[in-house]
Amino acid sequence: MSDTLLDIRDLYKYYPVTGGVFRKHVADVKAVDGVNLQIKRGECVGLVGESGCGKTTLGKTILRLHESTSGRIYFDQNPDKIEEVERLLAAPETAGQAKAALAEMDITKMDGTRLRALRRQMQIVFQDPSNSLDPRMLIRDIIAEPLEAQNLVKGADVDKRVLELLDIVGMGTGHLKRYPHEFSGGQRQRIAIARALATNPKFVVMDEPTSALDVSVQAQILNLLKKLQRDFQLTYLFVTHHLLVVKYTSDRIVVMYLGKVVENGPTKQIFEKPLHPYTKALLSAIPVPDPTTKREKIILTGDVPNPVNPPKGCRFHPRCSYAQEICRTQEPALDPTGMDGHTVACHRWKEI
Amino acid sequence: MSNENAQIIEKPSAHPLWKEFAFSMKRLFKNPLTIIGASIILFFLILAIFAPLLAPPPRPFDPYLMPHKGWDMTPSPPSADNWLGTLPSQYDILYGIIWGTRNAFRIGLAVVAANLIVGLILGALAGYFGGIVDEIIMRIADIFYAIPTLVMAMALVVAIGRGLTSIVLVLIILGWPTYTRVIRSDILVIRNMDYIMAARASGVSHLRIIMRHIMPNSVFSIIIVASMNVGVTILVAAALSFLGLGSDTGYADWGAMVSTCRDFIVGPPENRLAYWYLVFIPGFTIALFVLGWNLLGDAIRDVFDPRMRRR
Repeated sequence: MSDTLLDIRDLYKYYPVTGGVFRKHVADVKAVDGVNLQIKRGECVGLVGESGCGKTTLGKTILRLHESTSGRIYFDQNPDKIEEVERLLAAPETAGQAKAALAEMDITKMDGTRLRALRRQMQIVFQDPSNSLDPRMLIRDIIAEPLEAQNLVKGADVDKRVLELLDIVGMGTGHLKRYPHEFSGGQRQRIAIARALATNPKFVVMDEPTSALDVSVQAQILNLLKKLQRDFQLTYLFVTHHLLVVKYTSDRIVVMYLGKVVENGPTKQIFEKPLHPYTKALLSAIPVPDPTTKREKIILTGDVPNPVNPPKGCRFHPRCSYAQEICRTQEPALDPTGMDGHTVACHRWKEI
Repeated sequence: MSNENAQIIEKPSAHPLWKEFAFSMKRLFKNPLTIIGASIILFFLILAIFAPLLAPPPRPFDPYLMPHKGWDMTPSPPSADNWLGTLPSQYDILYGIIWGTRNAFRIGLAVVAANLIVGLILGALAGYFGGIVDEIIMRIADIFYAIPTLVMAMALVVAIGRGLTSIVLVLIILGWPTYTRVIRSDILVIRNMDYIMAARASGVSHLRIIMRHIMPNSVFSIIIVASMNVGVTILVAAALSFLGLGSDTGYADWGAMVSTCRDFIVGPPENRLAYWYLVFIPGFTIALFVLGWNLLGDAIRDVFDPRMRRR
């Protein structure tokens, strides 16, 4: 069993923009634009960025709730095999040979049967539990749905398993025959988590699971998620714009800006010594609960550029105070910094 | 987290579906218009069900043929023999109204049920799968919308051959676009809800998603449309009958009854209102029937529309 659970290579997700009478394809919204990301087993990776930077799209594309435009997503595959396929793909003359292997290994190219079996291993918890639970279904049916869809449990055992799941997420018994609207926001989110855990997944995408909740409930849910991760050896991709949530939950932080990963490193390093100017700006925006502290705040000017037509060179350069000529013309690659697992996409990270 | 759960105290209760239903009914009958609408429909329903008792047919094998005494072309006013008077050729109006009620339910429910089924299937396909399927179905619907319904219906009835069966058939052919549109637009909204995504993420099949998630959440607006359309269907069928495209004289059909009285709408110069009962009684019956369904449809909307419901 390899160390890496999820391996994303050159993932692109473009939304076509159509115009005119004939719905001609005129441009693309580049929601995810060439993302490479590895997630280790048992890790919690925090994916942060502004609204509209593509973090939710990335999460949903991994689960193939959105179809990717191009790229490969390997889930729980032998790393040697991945390297072999990648090598074949790299050279145009051998790329054809990789096709059969990709249909087996790559989530984005799997057929329905394979994908369905894989769905048991990957789940998602959505932001707003009042939208993610069908208002006309009973709690029992909501939680039992993945079990039935995957044919995991049958007959009377379904009720037993549902009760067990409700217990796992800290809800009492006696909720089976109720509708979602009879519960509070925190309880609904617990139900959504129970549903996500029903099939015993290895990997769960947390799509801002606490953003729609009260602050007091947020803490409870975060603690629950941490406990579940420990108890069931789960791997999380934690999508959020709330940096302190990420700091609390995640082992590693991935910062996205306009569809690209700009910095990726261990939580501690990112918070202590952020390298990318965008990460610095994000961190400086976290409020400090002490009115006497004086801090230098980096205020970003301007808006996030339109993802249909992102700036040339470094995407962050129009808003970056360190931008130089090279930033305007050349796109920086995600380079290792020499520090443990820390990568950054900035031309000038050493100087600033 | 324990105190959060403590709020929910388990009590032995009826099945939640029944609880929801009871709640809906309670809401439904709080509205006076509902009671009026429901009473009207109930009244017609009783007429239709007990038609053989209320107006025993002289020829039981063909009850929709109105009995008549003689061929006198001059209608006679309400009397002890004919409580609501007679049509030309002495057809009993009361008999026509009673058996016409049965006929109206037959037409209305058949047309609406057929439209509902076609609309649900086509709307679900168009809304859920989108793309080229959607384009084809909805463009055909647009073509139907582009032609005035009544004109199209007249042309088709003439082409098929006049008669009540043709009217029903034509209304089924012409009625589906409205239903398809309504169901499609609802599904377009629901399709993007997170619970559909969650179901897909669990590997639930398309058919199951449509049946378990999309239909239960979108079926209510179509039921509202359907309940209102029962009345409208009767109105259009009556209009076609009035134009002479319906059944033959003597058939217990409200529209046909009005149609036979065309020459007697205005009485002789000395008493213009001499034959008031001819047009008024079947006409008023049609109006009442349509009104009943509209009120009922309104009430159903108030109760079942998820947007107007408590959360």
